[in-house]
Amino acid sequence: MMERYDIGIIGSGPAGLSAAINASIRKKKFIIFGNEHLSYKLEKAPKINNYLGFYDITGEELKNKFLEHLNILGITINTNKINSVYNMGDYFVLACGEKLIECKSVILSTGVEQSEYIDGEKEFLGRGVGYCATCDAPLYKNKVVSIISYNDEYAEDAKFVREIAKKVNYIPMYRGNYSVDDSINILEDKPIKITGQDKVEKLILRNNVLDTDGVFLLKNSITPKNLVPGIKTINDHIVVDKFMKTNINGCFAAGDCTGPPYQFIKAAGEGNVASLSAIKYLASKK
Amino acid sequence: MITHIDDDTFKKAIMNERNLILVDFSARWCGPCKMMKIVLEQISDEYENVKIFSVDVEESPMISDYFNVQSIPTIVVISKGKIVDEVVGFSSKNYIEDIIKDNL
Repeated sequence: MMERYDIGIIGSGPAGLSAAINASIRKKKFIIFGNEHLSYKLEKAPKINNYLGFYDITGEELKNKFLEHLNILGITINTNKINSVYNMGDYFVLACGEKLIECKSVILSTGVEQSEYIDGEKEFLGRGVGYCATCDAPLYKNKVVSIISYNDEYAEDAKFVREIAKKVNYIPMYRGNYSVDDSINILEDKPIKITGQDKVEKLILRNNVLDTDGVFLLKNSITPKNLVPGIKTINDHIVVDKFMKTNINGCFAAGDCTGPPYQFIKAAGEGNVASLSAIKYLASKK
Repeated sequence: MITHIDDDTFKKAIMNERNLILVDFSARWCGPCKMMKIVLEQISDEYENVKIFSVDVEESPMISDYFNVQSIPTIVVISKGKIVDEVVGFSSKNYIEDIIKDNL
């Protein structure tokens, strides 16, 4: 049987780290996902003057302090990227590609990225617009699919769709080498609008208009709603109460993803509260 | 128990069913579909008066087209021969249960 963690923490900024530290002190079985930079925002901060006890510190210095703290407690960051969090009722499944991790509770501390939507993207979601090309590919057998890709890693997805669809347009939002073959139509252009009647019919680019049955947007960042189906958000921020509870039982959120002010010390404080709330939730389930 | 149906068996299965029907459209390699199936299996065990059918969209393109399925997983809810709701994407057990309660 798959081992089940008490707490799964997604994000290694101040909120996620603070949650992990408290989970460690309270001897919970937890896993924290993030990256070795901990937080790009923190790493790049030139000066931080309001983090208690660390006046006039640079982001890099504060990051190193955080790392020291993690090392003392023996906490390691798992660098797998979580694509989806599924609420299974009594537990959660965190999916990173094909790998599945089970947790009794979840703390979301994913930070915030300003995501821009293409005109028509939200309107046609589920009606020809999608974010998982490999999931929905079989629905586009012998049809035309357009893929707006934000990363060359998604070229693999385009190849997969090409095996099923009649035609694949690939619109890279990055520049460099594109790892797709000649059977895929590459268009270096800017997406403007997705249009149609009941479902997607056209993708309008600055210099082209494409007749298409589906549009996949393969982005680097994932909004909370796409990460956790069913989570309540307002303006892409997760709605929480003062205990950092979300609308999903056992799921908590902390840091910038819950909304402004986007401050490191606020994030750390919320991470602390989320962790303690998760521990209380676990106790209530026993 | 979830009953697997295809383009050939779909019509007969639906016509002969008197309970509330959930039709789960999925594909073998779709991760969210696998999670959805676990939730639907729990529901199938707990609700005797709900019948759940599963359709592989790759294997059965005709039904998928008929129901205009554009994204998977999609669950189509049928009551007394009429489509009463549709759920696109993974949904929690609570969410599906609310839909069932609304339509029983």
